Amino acid sequence: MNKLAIVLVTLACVFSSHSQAEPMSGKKLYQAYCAQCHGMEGDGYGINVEFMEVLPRDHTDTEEMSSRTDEDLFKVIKFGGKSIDKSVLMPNWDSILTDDEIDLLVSHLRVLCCEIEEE
Amino acid sequence: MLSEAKLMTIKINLLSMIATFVMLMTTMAVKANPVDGILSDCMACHAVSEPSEMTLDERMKRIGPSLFYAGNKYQAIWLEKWLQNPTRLFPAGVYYGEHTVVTDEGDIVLETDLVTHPKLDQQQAQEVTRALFKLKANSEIVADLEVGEIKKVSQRMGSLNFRKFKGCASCHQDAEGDGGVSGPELYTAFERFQLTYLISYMQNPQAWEPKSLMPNQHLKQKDVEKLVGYLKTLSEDKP
Ligand code: HEC
Ligand code: HEC
Ligand code: HEC
Repeated sequence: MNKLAIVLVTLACVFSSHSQAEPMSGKKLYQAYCAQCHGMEGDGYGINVEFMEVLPRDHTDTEEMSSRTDEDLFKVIKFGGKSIDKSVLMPNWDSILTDDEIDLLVSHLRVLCCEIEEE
Repeated sequence: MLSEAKLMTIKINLLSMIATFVMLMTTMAVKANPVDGILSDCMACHAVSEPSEMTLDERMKRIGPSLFYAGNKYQAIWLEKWLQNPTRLFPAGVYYGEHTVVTDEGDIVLETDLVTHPKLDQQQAQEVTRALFKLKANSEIVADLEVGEIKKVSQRMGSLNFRKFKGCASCHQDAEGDGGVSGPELYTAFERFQLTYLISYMQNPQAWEPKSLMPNQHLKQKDVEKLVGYLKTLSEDKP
């Protein structure tokens, strides 16, 4: 019994040290997935825009961004521009991001547009 | 003082810990493919054996694309040629954020910052190609893949589809210097990749690479065939 416990603890140690996750943040997710189009600073001028027919939303535009609810933002990130009758050039991220990660991004968008502290 | 019996149990426990550890290590070693020594120079920038998992941080720090499924990805003819005369495939590097600077005119890629790829001579390229073709992770993805006939698509319709309807050109070039730069160029994709790789990657990038930065757009089989048909047109109707 005792031995089994030790084996389990060892296993747990090996696996946890292995998969020790660094803290995930909305900012990091944004830099990884969104900044290529929306810009490293969220101003809408990412490295890809020269070749895009519809410009990515400027996430620092306080007025425009304030008119969207958190639910609106969550939906467009998860299901893409198509889901809110906007451009398909805004991709769907449902197979890459978990719902929790999308929540982190929504909070980060509030920092970009309106300087609301990230939770 | 510890009693004799207690010492004994501690010893046994220690032994079982070591045994578990050894067992774990051997199962890990068996899982990894044997990798030819000739690829050791590549490991500074490329993963040549399958990592047990990859975090987003690790993906963002990667210098070159993964090679541990090279045998299921490239066409040997392309590979051998490219290794002798490497061209730029990722116009903004394998993770764009490492090479992007913010300017008043918008974000730009620091091209001088990109890796100049090592060049091999013909004999090295042949040996490396042979070694890379032994790396066959992800075989299960392509094993039962049904590949319909790939018909060429007209340049005009293909381009419209690639750019406007599917949005691939936001991230990929379909002609040199024309198209998004965060993803690899696709105007040589049809010669570069095995057909089964192209098709299955478009259907589900994360099946090949869980931390792929490309979104899965849930394309239908027909859509994928049309897109591949366009890539075929691009490679066969080159100016
Ligand atoms: C391939 C380029 C591209 C990438 C990558 C991208 N977007 Fe977008 N995004 C767009 C475009 C284009 C629009 C504008 C759509 C329109 O106005 O029709 C947009 C619009 C938006 C909007 C505004 C929707 C509205 O209500 O007007 C939000 C919010 C957004 N994107 C968030 C994100 C987030 C978060 C990410 C990263 C997970 C991301 N985008 C990645 C291209 C992109
Ligand atoms: C200094 C880092 C570095 C070293 C060393 C290196 N590579 Fe690369 N490799 C890269 C980068 C960066 C790319 C992306 C090329 C580009 O876009 O210019 C790449 C691309 C490739 C590609 C094309 C990958 C794809 O799917 O697009 C192959 C194949 C390749 N390397 C093979 C090798 C082999 C084989 C070796 C060892 C003999 C090697 N590389 C050594 C950095 C490196
Ligand atoms: C948001 C940007 C983005 C969009 C949109 C996008 N891709 Fe990609 N794609 C990438 C990136 C980045 C990679 C490289 C993946 C990685 O290394 O993480 C990639 C890889 C690929 C590859 C594999 C190439 C290789 O070198 O292994 C193919 C094929 C491909 N994309 C086709 C497409 C097609 C077809 C579309 C349109 C339906 C599309 N992509 C839309 C970003 C994108």
